[in-house]
Amino acid sequence: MPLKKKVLIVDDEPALTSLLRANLEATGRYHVLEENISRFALASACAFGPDVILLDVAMPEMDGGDIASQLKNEARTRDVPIVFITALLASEETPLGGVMSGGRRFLSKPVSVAEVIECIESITGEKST
Amino acid sequence: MPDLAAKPVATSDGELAALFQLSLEMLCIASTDGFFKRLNPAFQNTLGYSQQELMARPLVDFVHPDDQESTLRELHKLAEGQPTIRFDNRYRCADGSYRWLSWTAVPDSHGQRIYAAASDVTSRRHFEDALRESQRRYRQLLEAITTYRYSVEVRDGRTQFTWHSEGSLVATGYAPADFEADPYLWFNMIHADDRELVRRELRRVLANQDVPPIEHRIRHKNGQVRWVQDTIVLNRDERGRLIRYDGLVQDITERKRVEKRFRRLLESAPDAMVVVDGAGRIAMVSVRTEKLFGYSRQELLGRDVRCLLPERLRAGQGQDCFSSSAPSTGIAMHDCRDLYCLRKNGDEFPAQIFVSPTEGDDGVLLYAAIRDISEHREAQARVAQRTGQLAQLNAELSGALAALQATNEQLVNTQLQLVQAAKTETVGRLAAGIAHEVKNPLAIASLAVEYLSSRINSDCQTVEAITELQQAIKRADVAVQGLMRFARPGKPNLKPGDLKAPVETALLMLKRELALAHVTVTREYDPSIPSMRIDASSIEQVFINIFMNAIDAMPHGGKVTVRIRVARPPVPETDCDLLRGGSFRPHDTLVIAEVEDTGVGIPPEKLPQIFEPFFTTKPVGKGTGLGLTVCRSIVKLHGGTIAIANCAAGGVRVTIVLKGMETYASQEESPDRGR
Repeated sequence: MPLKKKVLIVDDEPALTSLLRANLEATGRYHVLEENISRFALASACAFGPDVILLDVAMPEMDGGDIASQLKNEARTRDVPIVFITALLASEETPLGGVMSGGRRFLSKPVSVAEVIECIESITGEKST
Repeated sequence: MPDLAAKPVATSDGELAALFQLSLEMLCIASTDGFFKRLNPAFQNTLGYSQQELMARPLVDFVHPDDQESTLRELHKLAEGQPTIRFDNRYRCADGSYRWLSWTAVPDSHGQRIYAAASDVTSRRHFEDALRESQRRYRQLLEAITTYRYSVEVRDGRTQFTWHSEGSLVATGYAPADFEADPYLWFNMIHADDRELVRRELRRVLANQDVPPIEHRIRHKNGQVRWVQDTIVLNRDERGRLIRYDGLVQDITERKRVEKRFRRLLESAPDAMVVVDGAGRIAMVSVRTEKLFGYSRQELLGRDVRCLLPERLRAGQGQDCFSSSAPSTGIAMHDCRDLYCLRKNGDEFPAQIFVSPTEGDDGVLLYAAIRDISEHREAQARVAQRTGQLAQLNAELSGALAALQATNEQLVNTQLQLVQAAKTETVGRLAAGIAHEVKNPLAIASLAVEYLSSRINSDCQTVEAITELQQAIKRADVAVQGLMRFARPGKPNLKPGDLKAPVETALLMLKRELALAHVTVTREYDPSIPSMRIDASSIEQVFINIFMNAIDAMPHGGKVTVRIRVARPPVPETDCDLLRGGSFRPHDTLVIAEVEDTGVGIPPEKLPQIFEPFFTTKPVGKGTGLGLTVCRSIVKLHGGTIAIANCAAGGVRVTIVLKGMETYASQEESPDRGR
């Protein structure tokens, strides 16, 4: 059985993170860590060592962009792919798994579990190949 | 004495002949050709000729030569049947003397004979002549004592002897004896300022030169200063040497006073005044005339007035202007306009000349007022120029005003657009905020549904409930996406497709709402709808909005007709209005979607605002006022148009025009073209 992929979800909505976690873990393929406080995102990432980070954009204290910068500046997290999950973009603006400007990926809320999985798989697949 | 009046006395030729012979009055019968035919003895007694002598010659031969013409005229009148009431003439008597006869005569009815009676009025005439002579002598006498005459005997250019008339007393206050007593009196009484003038003129006289009348002042014996005119006539001997000169001294004080008053009047005139005599010579000028023309008074006096006109005008217009035949009313001004005058230096200037001829003692005088109208002309030109400039400025002003109005209109429009834009921007920001806030709970709901669906068994009802929940989430997401699109209308994701699909999807999504509102749907689809490039989810949203509006407009149920038709070029005129604002090309095939409801319609006054953000005709809480705004944004992004109108039969018709992919241009490019 292959190793579960580690997914860090950073979002200030605990309900969203817990449901996404439940849905992803239900597949048996992912090990998920939730982080609802933005300023602890980097620490969580360093401690958890995720294969992929699902990062909300609009959050109190620090927004997704700031967190992404921190992650890129930290050697331990520099190479971890980030997927932004945002309510600020309409779905048609975020083609599934589409690479947006700066090599970043975006998913638009509300997002289906299938879309998230497809996105995670495409990234980690690229990485593994 | 017998009473002659009581009974008529019978007359006979004999009696008449006796009376004719006896009358002391001269009675005669003459022929109209001027001969005496019968005379009574009184003729012979008065004139001394025999009857035969008088009848032998034409009667006018006996008339004084000075009276012959008037006598013949009188005869002629009688021959024409007019009687002579009284006519006097002189007849020559046999002794050569003349006697005055006064005649009364009547012609006969045939105009052949004249019956005349004459009285000798010689003594009366003499008396009258004597009276006239007496009056003449009286006047002469009067003149002799008021007109001062003097004579100066001259020999070899030197004064020898002087004689003064009695008139000197009236004119100077000095008697002739005074002049004899004081040989220098005549010179001393001359006003000090005029002595040089008189001396100069007298030197010329003594040099045997004729001089014009000298006007100068004298001091009268009573102390008054008086003006006199001394007219000097030179007497020369047979060799032409001056032997005597006679002077006539007239008091012209009154004339001078009048002249002075006239001069003052002349000088006070605002125009250059010129007085012209009957011969057309300048008799008087005002100072203004000297200044205007540059001549001195002396240069002008006596000259032909036409010297003031340019050569070319002297014959025609100028001549007419200064002609004394101009109306002599003395009041009406003879106006010679558009003349030019000539200065001494040769400059011409435009002038207006008013001429008033007046008959005076010295004949007709012309009073001319000459006005330099250069400044007037210049002012006129300036006024004309200024008027032109003003007209131009006015035109420019009108233009500027029109431009200003246009700019103002533009500004108002821009302002409206700005207000609209500001409103839209606010709405946009609001929409983005709402979208973000709604999308998170939607994401949670969506994930929760997915979680639940993975955990339930295949209970039909539960599955149905979950499916409906999923659809509701999707619909909410679409609505939020619409809001976001409005906030940030992005480029639509155009893909080849069919308009029917999004319409049907929208109807499917609203199936429940349509059923609850008892609204039935009728579809009229053209079977040949061409493929088109559309963003299906956006178009879905458009139709969801339109259908929702239709449902809201029919709370008690009704009918929705969805029609999709195709308009191929040339586009029918009835559809042309629908194309305004769209980015269509002449050869585009148009796909026209029409949604008609049977609802309450839209108040006509509200139709123009129907697409504005936050404008709604729905009750509070029923609509956001964003639906149609978003619809229009989406349709515009497709290059199409959307219009809303009330149907004639009631309800509303929404018309959406979009471009089909097939175009007439592509047909033109086919190989069949040009056959």
